[in-house]
This record gives sequence, C-alpha cells and structure tokens, in this order.
Amino acid sequence: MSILEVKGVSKYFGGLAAIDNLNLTIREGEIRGIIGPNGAGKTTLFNVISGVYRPSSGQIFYKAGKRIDGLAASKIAEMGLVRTFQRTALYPNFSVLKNVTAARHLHARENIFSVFAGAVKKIEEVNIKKALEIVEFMGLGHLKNELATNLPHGHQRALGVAIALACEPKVLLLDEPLTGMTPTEKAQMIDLIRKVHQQGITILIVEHDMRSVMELCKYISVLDFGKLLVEGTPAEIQNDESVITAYLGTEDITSLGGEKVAT
Amino acid sequence: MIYFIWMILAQSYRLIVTIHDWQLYHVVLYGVGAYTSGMLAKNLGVPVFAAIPLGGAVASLAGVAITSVLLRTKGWGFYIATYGLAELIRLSWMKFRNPFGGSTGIIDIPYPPVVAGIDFSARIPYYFFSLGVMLIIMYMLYRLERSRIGDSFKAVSMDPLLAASTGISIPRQRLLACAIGGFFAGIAGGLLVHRLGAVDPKLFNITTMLYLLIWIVVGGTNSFWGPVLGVSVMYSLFELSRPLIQIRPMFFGIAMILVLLFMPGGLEGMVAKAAVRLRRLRGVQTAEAE
Repeated sequence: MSILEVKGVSKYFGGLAAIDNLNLTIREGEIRGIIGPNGAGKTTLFNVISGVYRPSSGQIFYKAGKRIDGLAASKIAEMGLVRTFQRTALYPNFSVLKNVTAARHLHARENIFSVFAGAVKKIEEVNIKKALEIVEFMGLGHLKNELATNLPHGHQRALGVAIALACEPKVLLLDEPLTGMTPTEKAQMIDLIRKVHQQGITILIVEHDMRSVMELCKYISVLDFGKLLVEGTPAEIQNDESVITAYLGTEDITSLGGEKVAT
Repeated sequence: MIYFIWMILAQSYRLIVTIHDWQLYHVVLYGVGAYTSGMLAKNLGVPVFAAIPLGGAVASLAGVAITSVLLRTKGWGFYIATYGLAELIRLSWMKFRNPFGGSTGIIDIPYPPVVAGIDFSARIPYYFFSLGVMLIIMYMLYRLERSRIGDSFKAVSMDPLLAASTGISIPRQRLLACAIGGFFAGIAGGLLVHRLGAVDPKLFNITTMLYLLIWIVVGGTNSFWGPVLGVSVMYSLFELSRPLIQIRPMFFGIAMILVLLFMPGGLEGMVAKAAVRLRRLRGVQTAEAE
C-alpha cells in the first residue's frame, strides 16, 4: 500500500523548473533511495513534500488519499511526515537533550495556563524519558548536557536525526544524512538508519554517497533535471545507460561512490 | 513606582524578543492598557482592581490584532510595520477628543479604593501594591520562559525551518508571544494610570519605546536577568541625570552605541563573563594550593 504519492508535481523558481511533472509512489515500510546529479531537484522535492514550498502544480497524497500539498510545514509534521535538513540544523544554544525534548512539541499538552498548574508534569516526564532514549539510541548519551554548537560535525548530524525521531514520524525524509562524515561515522549512521527502518518507519533518503545508498535501499529513484529518470533495484540502476549518461562522462557509475555492490 | 512599571514592560518585551519579534508597539500596548483601564473606571464605574486586568486583556487583543495582520512579514519589514500600526492607534487618541480626550488626554481617572482598611490611593500602599504585581508578573514570566512554551519561542528564533519541521506552528507561537507580552504591558499601563489619575498620548510615543529598547539592549536579552539589570542600572542613571535633562537623550544614545560596540551581550553578558573568569581564577588558586 502506498503511504506517500507524488502526482505530477512541478516546482518553478522564476522560469526554471526545479522539479518538473514528477511522479513518485512510496510504499509503506519501504526504504527508498533518491539519487541524481547536483541540481536534479532532490532537496526541492523534500522541501515540497515537507511543506517548506508549495508545489507550482500537481498533488501530493499521504496515507489513503489525504492531500498534503500546500499545508503548513508544522501541520505536515503533525501528520507524521518528518524531514531532516541537508545543512546541519539544530538549536545551537540548547543542550543536546534539550534539542530533542524541544522536538517533542507534538507530544506535549502545554498551554499558558497549564504552565502554572503543574498538570503537564507527568507528560513532560514521559517526554524527557523518551528524549533520553532517543539520545542514547543515536549514540549521544555521553554528550546529553553539552551545548549542541560544541559538538563535532558527525555528532551534530546524528543530533539532527534524533530531533526528527523525537517527533515519532511514520515517514522520515533524510536529506543527505552522511554528508561530511568519516567512514566510521558513516557506518554507524547507516546502522542506525537500518534500525530505525526496522521499527517500521518508512524512509526516504537523498544521498550522494552511492555505495551507502545501494547498501541501504532495495529500490532507488534517479532524478535528473527535475524529472524522474529511472527507478529500479541498485543492480538495475548501476547498469542503466541513461543513469550513466546523466552522471556525465562517467563510464561506470560505481566509480563515483566506491566499489560495485554484490547483488 | 515607575521603576516597577519599567520592569514589567522590559520583562514582558523580552519574552517577545525571545521569538525575535522586536516589535515597536509595546509602549502603545502599555498605552492601550492605560486608556482602557482609565476609561472603564471613569466612564463605566468599573472597580479599579477589575479595570487593570481588563486593560491587560484589551492590550493583549490589540497586540494579537496588529501581529496577525503582519504575520506575513518578518525581520525589518515587521519591525517597521509594527511602528506604523502603533502610531495609528496613538494618533487616534490624539485625533478623537471624544472619547480619548485628544492631545490633552483624560483626567480625573479614579484612584484605587480603600480595601481592608488600607487606602490604596495613598503613595506607600500603592507602592507595595505595584511591587507585588511586578513580582507576580516576573515570577510568571520566569516560569513561562523555563517552560516548553519558552523553549519553543527560542527554537523558532534559532531555526524557524527546523522548528516548523518538528510541528511547531510559527504563526501560532508568534501570536501567543505577543498576546502574553501585550497582556502584561497592558497591566503596566493600568498601574500607571490609577496612580497618575490622568493619561495623555505623549506618554506612549516612540521616544518612550526607544528608551525601552535602550534599557533592554543595554541589559542584554540572553537571559531573564538582562532586563532586570538593564532597567535597574539605566533607570537609576535616568533619574540621576535629571539635572542634565536637555542632553539626556544624547547621553543614552551614546551609552547604547558603546554597549553595542563593546559588550554585545549587554550588562548581563558582562556579568556572566566576569563570573566565568572569577571561577577560573578560583580554580587556578585551588589547583596551586594543591
């Protein structure tokens, strides 16, 4: 069953089509890789799905035909569709733990009056407990009281994912989660993404590291100039002529990201 | 007395600053509270102690109304537009003699009554009454800042896109911030008007707003104690410089520029830095002793 359906979506900036009449169907429980050369429209696609941009045309359906295109980003997050950012997005002046508890906004029942009534105390205890679990899960437990701005890059990326997980997503959109990581950090992150997937969360992942995408995903969509170029298993993608041409001049796609993946 | 009012204004304004809406209508909301409370008590005979919170409520609504019109703007556009709409309100007080009394304002506003044998219209009881109100408001704002709501305001100001992606509705939080801030500013207005017994539009002009901004910037906005310091130090200087009244604005302008240049965290930032240095010094001493 499809959990997310992108139907004929376009997004123009001025006269330029960042994504152009794109169709994409994501099944529930899937882990889908989205790749493509720079400027192919991958991040724009995420921005359109997550409500940062309103699509110029087309529709996006989430779960049994609920239309979500044009809704506010916060509303889409509330429905269980949560994204991470390509840039390192976190609250620099909050501690690691507070970064994650702040993201439990949807699971808090606080208003101006309850602040003084103490009625939310129990819910907040649960939220802090849950946030601690997530921080531990992402391997940041020993840093929980550190200010986010003081963390090394790899940990900051992990914190970005932790913030998204704190929203308890049903669909998680990961925008280049491995950028700038050392090989060890990459391996850990891939392992964590797999664990998240095993919890039944549907994952869409945009990533330039070809080897990791092919390792993680059973099915990959390739974008080029805002259009869907081809979809298929990693093996199919690697041997597809049009994909090879899209990555200009590269005769063998595997030379971009590492060795050939056994299929 | 005026010190307490400044403190309420500065502290409630800081809550709005934590979400990064440096609006320029705060002082006018203080005026809305003053006019509402004064007119309710004078024209409709509402008891003073009921009129003050009602003034707060109307000021809060006025703040929400202004901000909701301007939700599409942010940053500089928002700041300037808030000044425009605030002047609209203030000029309507000047323009309409009835019911606002025009540029001379309203006089004969009732003083607070005698409650439980204490005459609140007298100077000393009113002083303690406003001190109490200030402390309660400070406590409430302190709790609010430490709550999830306070965190969400800071989250929005640090990274609005990230905040929205975790389900925090930015328009909603911005309106909430200005509603809370406006309410307390309105209460401050009520406190003022029932002491003065009169109100006029000059009290709420842009100069007053600028002084409020100076208190806050000089004090620092990073922590709850910034405005406390700012108002305490600057308002004392303000009172002490009374003999130099003609060059006073120049003096405070220069003070603000110096603070912006040499201590961007404000007085509060200086204190924090000094505390760190002191701790380090002590650490060195104990290490040497060992």
